[in-house]
Amino acid sequence: MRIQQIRAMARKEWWHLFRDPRSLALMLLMPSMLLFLFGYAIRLDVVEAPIGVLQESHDSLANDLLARIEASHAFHVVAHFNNRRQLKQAIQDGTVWAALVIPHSYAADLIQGKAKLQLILDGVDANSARLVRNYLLGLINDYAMTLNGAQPPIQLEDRTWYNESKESRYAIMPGVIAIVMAVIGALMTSLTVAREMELGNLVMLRTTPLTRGEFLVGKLTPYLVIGTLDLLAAVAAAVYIFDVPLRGPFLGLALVSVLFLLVVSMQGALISLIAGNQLLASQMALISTFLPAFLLSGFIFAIQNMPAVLQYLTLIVPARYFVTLSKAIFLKGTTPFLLWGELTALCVMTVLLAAVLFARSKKLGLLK
Amino acid sequence: MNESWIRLRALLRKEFMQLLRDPRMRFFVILPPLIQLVIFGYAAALDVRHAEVGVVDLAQSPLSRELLAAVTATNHFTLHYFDDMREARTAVDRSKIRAVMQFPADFEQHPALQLIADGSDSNSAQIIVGELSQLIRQAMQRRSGRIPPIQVEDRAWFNPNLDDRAYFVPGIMANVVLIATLILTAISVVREREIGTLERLLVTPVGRLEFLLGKLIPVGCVGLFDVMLISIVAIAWFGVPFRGDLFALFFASLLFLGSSLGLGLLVSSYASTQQQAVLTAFFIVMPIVILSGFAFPIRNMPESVQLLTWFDPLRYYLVIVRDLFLKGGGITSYPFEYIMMALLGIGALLLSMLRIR
Repeated sequence: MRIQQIRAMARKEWWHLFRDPRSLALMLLMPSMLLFLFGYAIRLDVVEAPIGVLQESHDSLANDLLARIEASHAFHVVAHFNNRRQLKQAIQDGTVWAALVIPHSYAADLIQGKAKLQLILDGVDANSARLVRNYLLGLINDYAMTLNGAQPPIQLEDRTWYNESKESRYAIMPGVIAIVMAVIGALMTSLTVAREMELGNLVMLRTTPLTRGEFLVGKLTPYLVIGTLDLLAAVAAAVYIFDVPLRGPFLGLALVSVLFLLVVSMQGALISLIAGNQLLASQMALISTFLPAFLLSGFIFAIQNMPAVLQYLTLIVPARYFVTLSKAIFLKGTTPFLLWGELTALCVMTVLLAAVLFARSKKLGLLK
Repeated sequence: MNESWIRLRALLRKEFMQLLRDPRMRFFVILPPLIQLVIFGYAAALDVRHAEVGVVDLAQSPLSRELLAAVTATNHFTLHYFDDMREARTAVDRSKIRAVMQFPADFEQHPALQLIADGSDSNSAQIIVGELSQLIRQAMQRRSGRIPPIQVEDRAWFNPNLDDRAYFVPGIMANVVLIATLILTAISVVREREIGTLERLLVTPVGRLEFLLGKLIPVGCVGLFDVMLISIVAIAWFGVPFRGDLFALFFASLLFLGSSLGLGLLVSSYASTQQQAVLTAFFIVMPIVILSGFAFPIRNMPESVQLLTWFDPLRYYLVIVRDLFLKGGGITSYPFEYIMMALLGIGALLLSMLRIR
């Protein structure tokens, strides 16, 4: 490895990047844009869920219950139905997520202590339905137990560590940074080697004294720099614009991030080598980064929920480790070394990918 | 007209050959959509199963043990015992457990239980705590023999077991089709430009419309093929019901492909290299996916962002596809969604035709 050769290769790549300012701008702007999009668009908790009520009994007891529900921020009663047909139609059209039926005999039954309500949920969005059901059941249960002025048999105190206000944005942002960088990092590098192969520049490079190791290092360096800038912008946006607390050491986050970038950019380069043309490379990069990072990293869907085979599969998704690390450093204020398992995994991936990349680069036909 | 037809046929042959010549590309059309569907069909679940929960039982009383037994009996939770809160906190810090239950020493006299969720976990920790409190309330009520005076009978229509898969699988299908077709279209046009074969096509009698149709039809076929393939697997493998009209699915997919191919063409009209095309395409695909309501309900977004979703063709396609699978209905059920998709598709196609000369 000669520094001079690497510098020359990197300079060539920089020229290529600067000659195409639009791609460069996209590479630099995309992470922040995606962060904004995720930051504003994602909310998984129930706030003002639209529900409908079919109130067959209009006495004070029924009104009391309804007032209790309307007072909660979780629900917004958007419809009062007159009959079952209307209720059915509203659920079918999706204008309400759930409908509560308060029957004729509600007051009379309540006095005897055996009132029955009916809750109908739109099960299509199973997660929202589950959240609405749990909230509503809890609310009605608490209400019911205190009706006769009695003490509930147990007091439950809910607390949320690291995120007392239960702001879902706090929990999502550190993960979003990981997803965005997983995709951008791999996408950027997946095209560069394939381009040289497709356009035939490789033949020219073969006539130079450049070795394949130097070629790879020189190729990847500019993208690592761009990726690092992206990451800094994303972290700054999360902290200063979205007010996500960065409780852990910034240096720790930086260390982990650079390691992660290294892994994904080598992943992109490997894809590039295998594909050999940009069409296939871009498709492979998207398929192997975006959806896995989104779905298999534990960002939204808990890994423990998956079947065993899939849980093993998540072990080779680099975003999995970075999501855990980034969340822990941001919100829990831990140092990366407390999560040594995740850190080691990223290191092992770096070494393995470097070895595979070097071995596969033989087919480029460069020196050594 | 006849000659035009012959030219188009020749172009189509060339395009199909180009698209499917490479064995990796052939593989690409069939296997990845299936692999993705199967993996994500299993991965996409937000409910609670095997949740790792920490327990700090300072009371060690019959009551606390009885409650813990009730929690274990559901098989939804794996309990880990800790001697004090400090230990439990370290486990949360290392992301080994996602919630903690703390029984105070005087639990027998004052039954007050603390449930702590890991707030860095966006969704599942909340669901875990919700489910735990429900369980414990019920166990306590059974124990005290006091039945609450109000009973709620809940029923979920269309998806009685609240199976996440039925919701996500149609969404995954739409995503896979969108990503594949939009980028394929964008790249296949730009590639001719970058490699220089577009120049050669310009000297042939091939017209603009013929050229574009030659590009769009093969990719459209790939898209329809993927829709078919994924639907069959969703129904046969995952047991997702299909209650709607098959023709409606075909028609909706056709309209949706119109928008996704149109957007692909639009991207290609802005890009001069494949790298630009891919980056731009991705720049468009991500917002389309996030704003579509695929994983995050549109109703929960701020008003201004909700307005943006009006321009998202995937949003309409998802509504139709999900309802075709789960609720049933036919081609007349969602006139608004069909019209919006058609408008967006025609708009994108027209705009890109104007830009490509």
